[in-house]
Amino acid sequence: MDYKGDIFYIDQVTAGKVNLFSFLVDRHKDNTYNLAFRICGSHEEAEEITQDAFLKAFRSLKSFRKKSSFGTWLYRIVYNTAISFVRSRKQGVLALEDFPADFADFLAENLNEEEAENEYRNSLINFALQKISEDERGLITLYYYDELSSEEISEITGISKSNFKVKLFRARQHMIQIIEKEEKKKMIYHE
Amino acid sequence: MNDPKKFDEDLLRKYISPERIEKAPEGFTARIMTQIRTDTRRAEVHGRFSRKSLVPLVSAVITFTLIIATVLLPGNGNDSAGLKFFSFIRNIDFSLPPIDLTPVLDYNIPGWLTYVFISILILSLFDRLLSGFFHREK
Repeated sequence: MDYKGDIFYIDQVTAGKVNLFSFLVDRHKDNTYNLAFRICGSHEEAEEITQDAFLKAFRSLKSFRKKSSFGTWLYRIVYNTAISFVRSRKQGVLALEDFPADFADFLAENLNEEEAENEYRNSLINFALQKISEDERGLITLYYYDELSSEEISEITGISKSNFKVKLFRARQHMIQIIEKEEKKKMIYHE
Repeated sequence: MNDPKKFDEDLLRKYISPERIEKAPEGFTARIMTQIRTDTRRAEVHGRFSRKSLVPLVSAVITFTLIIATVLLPGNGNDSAGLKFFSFIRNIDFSLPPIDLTPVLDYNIPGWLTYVFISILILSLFDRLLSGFFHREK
């Protein structure tokens, strides 16, 4: 069945056809889940956050003004839910203290070269993401994974465009420092 | 330096591929829809309960208003209708007829207890009647 656009399904759902909300969930579940996962760093929590955000979106669907896209509106709900969730949690996620220096070798033994390289980079990015603050994680995800414009990110996060640029710059610097440090450790390990 | 356009060539681009996103787990949509249906049903039940609780509330308000009106509004004479009503109640002179249960029971029970039992019976019937009225929708 062809997707008829967010607005069509929103109008149908607000008119009482609750089951059609599943089309909106199907359409946006992966991107919203990814955002929640990058911010909280755990699959279980990401699912909880995304479910909670979709429920909130459903309950306040009538207040959606259609000025911005549904995606941006939903992202704002997911972003705020995820940030609040991480801040309210008593303990941080059990992130690795150090990235294993021999991880690339382990992957090379079990996967082909391309897969191993992709897996290594993805794991290193996840490691670095867990070392920066939740706000920075959100900005990095929205900018690099979702490739949203500064206007859209500003609308989602509620921070001004100029402030966004400064924050993104800092977040990027933090990430690069962590990655470079781990890459150096890997090189030393191989020497 | 802070221009995001310049980030295009930065190191993070080498590590982050937008296609590599963490996807929602299997059955995610079904789980959300179950929650939403439950939520909708709960909201409907809550709405119905609110409508139902409105009936006794309105009834109580009307009764209370009528009592106040009876006490405060003046009747035909100098006294208010309320005062006339109370004096009428005070002047009623009647006594409950004694009920003799000895042919049925071997021992005597106090007369007032018989009336208590009858009152409970009547109130129970009245309660059943009201309950039937308010739960008709079910």
